[in-house]
Amino acid sequence: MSPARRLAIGITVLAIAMGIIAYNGIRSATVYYLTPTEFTRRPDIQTARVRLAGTVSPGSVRRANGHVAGFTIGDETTSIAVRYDGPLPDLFAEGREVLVEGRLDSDGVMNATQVITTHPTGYKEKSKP
Amino acid sequence: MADLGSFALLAGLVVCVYGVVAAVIGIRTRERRFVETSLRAVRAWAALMVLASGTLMFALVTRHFRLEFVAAVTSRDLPLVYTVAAFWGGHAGSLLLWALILGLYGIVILRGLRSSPQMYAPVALVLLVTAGFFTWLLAFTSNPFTVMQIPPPDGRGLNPLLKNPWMSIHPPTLYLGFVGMTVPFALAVAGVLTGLTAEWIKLARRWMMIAWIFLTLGLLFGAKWSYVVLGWGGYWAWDPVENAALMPWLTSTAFLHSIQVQERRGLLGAWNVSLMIISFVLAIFGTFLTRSGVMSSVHAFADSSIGVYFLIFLGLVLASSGWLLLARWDRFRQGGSLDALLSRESAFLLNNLVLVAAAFVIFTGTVFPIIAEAFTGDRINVGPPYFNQVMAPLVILLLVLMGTAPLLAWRKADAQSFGRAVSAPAAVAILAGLGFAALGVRSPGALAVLALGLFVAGAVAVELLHGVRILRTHGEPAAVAVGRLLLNNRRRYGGYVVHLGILLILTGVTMSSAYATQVQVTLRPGEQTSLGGYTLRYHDAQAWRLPGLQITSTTVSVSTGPRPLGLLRPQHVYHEVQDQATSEIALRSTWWNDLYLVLVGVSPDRRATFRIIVNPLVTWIWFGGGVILTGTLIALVPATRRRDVPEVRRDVAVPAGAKAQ
Amino acid sequence: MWRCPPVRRRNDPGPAPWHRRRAVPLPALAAVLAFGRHLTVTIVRFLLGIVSVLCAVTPAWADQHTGIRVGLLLMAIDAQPDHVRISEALRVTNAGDPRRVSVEISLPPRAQYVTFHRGVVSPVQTEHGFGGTIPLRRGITEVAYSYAIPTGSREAIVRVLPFDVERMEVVGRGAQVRLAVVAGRELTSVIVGGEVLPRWEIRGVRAGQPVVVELVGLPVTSRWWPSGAAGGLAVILALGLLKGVTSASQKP
Repeated sequence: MSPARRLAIGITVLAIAMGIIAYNGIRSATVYYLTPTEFTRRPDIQTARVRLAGTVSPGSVRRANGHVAGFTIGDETTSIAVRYDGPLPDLFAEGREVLVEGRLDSDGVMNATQVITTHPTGYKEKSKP
Repeated sequence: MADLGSFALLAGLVVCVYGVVAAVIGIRTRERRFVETSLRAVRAWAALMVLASGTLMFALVTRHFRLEFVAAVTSRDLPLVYTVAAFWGGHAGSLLLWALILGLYGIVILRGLRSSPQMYAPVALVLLVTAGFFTWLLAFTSNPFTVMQIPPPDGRGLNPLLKNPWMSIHPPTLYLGFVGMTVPFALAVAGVLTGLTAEWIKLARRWMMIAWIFLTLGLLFGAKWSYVVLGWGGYWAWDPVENAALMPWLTSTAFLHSIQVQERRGLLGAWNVSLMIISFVLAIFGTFLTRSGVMSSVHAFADSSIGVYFLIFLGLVLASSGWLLLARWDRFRQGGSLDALLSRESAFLLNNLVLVAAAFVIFTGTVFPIIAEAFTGDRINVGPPYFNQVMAPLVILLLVLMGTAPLLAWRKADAQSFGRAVSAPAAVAILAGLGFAALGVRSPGALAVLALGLFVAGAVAVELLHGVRILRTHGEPAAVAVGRLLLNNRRRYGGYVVHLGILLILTGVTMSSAYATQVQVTLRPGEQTSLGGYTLRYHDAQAWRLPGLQITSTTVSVSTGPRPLGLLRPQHVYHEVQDQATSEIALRSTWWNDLYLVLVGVSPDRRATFRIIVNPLVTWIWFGGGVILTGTLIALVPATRRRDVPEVRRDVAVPAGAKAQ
Repeated sequence: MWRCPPVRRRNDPGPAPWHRRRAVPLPALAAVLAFGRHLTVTIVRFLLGIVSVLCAVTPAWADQHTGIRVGLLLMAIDAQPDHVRISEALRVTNAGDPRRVSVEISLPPRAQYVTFHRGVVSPVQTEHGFGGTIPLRRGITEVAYSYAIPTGSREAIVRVLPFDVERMEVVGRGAQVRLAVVAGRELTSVIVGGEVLPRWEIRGVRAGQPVVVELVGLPVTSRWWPSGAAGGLAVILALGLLKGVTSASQKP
């Protein structure tokens, strides 16, 4: 077998291995990306890990121990309560656009593992508990 | 003043169109006059970009709030340093920075082409087409010189997140890298049209290396900014914008290695030209991702139409360069073919494949959400676990290649001598692996990286020792031999230094990912907590005001055991003008680990909540960056005499005199 | 005939973040802002003379119930490139005890950067202008504010005020600016520092009566020269290229 042929076989094996790893990786790492209204209309992914995009409802920020413990994320028609315990990204404020990643709890409150805000010129900022 | 800037942009566009037409005619008719005038067009365009940039900078510094851009990114109380940095603090200004850097690169490359005048016209053509695209964007979609009818009394000011030295230097450095990819691309087109000569190889390598080092630095500055400013305790999040800069870095790294194969054996020409094209395409794609925000846009998040223009430009570039490549494919059927599997050429080929595969999987992960939405209608996001999973085996493979390739001979390596050479480093690696495992490192990824890192370092040491031994047979003392070896083989040993820098970075990344610890606590004044061997005692919180700022600061003293280490003051700063709060973290870095302190909040009764993170070996990442810079500078110093120390022989089947044509 | 119009409530929670400035005596304030100090002194002397004569001569127009009257509204228009900065100053006379009056004053559409210099407490942005409270002393109270309007080369500014004004004077500034007040009369211009400032007045303005100020000759920045110059450059380069191509094709 010529070296080129051997190389080609090796590469094919490599490619297949990478493909499998990539496929598994994507399956485990994908997160749905929705607005609160869309999320409430999707009963099939109510228990999945999701990212919600909306604005922090004014007056909804709840504090405990001097820092934010929860707030409500909403769009024009729907709001969802969020529980979050941790440092917030710098641009977080009421009325601002925000992304919340987490899972909906049995009591209908979203347990956020990550809160992300967007910078006006496009830079993103994130925090996790 | 705004008029002067607008004129510079419009005139620049006119000059680009003129230059493109002249260059095309010059290529067709081969008449010097047209080629020369297209070169003058490049220089004139560069001068106009300098004029436009100077005008904008002047407007910024004099707070000419009539310009919408100036009012958007500066304010009267902004320090001069950040007023200058505000130039790239918005869309329009950063596009102008892109154009300015392209102009400067253009002038320099035209001077460098003096020894290969046949490449003038194609290079000028590519530069002018790219320049025309960006000038058109500037003049008609994001004009930094748009004027407001009524100038506001004060500007909105720079976003507080950008008021940081790392963020000031990150965009220009990154752009020097992105824009720098245009020159190798222009050379690639010129090479396909006029032939891949030795001179071409030299130019291509040198320019790609310059763009590559800026891209490396830009990536590291961005990571450093993310680490110290964003306050989430990490430096890399596999964010689309970060990935956008990493992909061209990977393909240009592949190029820098495989160009050596073309230099020596005349092989992989098609690979190299393709890598140059792909790097440029990815750099434009990166600019597009960063500027248009298309990846993070969802519903409420606005994205501008600028993205469509970028995509059209990208499509045209890909289509035309792909067609050109295929039309001249026979030019690459030169040199010969791969002689043996166990050879340096095949190691480099495998290296190309691994790096391109890495860029491809990152690309897939980054654009997958868009594709998935087109097919299923569900918007998804691909998170870090995917990227970490797919990159891990590729990084392992790269480390193996990094260690074995220097020990392999060209053409066909003798298995025995290779085995001999590799045995010492391999033994060291295995022993080290066992040793680390015994010391408590159990994560397989960390063990692999540590062991392989030592393997690579060992291989470099083996190479160094052999080189020194050969020189010493001529009767030189060891120290002088080492010095001469390094001096006369700057490229090779500069490259090895860069490899060592990469090892440091990989070690730092692996260990800080695998062994970082964190905790969140609420403390009353006087209470203490401990993490990772550090004891932290919270003393008190204070609040005070500065012009435009409200600051809440806490004082925490740190000690290890009885030994006090100092005070840390994590803070919250509320910026009144921007109505925004930022969190200033407190950081204590040592070579061993970083103590990272975030103030989450202070309650009215002075109880403060902290997030404490201990990150091992993060300093190694930044230090590794410095090592990479050093290695690149060593490699870039031009060879004054063509006197290479003879290559270490490993029982090569081909006589040493055979060189690439 | 001062009437207290009902204050319209806004839906928004808070007031707009507008500027407040330190007070300077009226009407010199508006003039100082528009014209600078030296000019101001001249105008003030001139005007105070007229005002005092008028106040002595004209019958009292105060509303018997509220005891307020606005003796003078001075509108100073400063022409800038592409916009005008208008400063308005009112002299409110209160015959009764000190009290607070709620007022809502409409501004011309597209008025921006409204700045309150004197006399208005807690100003709030409303649909057509602003609203606020004027604390009136016994005697004369001064109210001053300014705003900017984007303009072309000609502009007609319509002012509608919610109270009667005995006398309204409009002064303009800017080279080649000419102004006219519909149904008003022109007064002698003031010349200060080489600048001619036209003056018009209108008397007996009733509440709700629109006063139209016509401005002509306002400075506008012309935006044509960058495109024009670039176009010229394009023509030159195209001709040069054409010449080069045709002479090349003539070669054997």
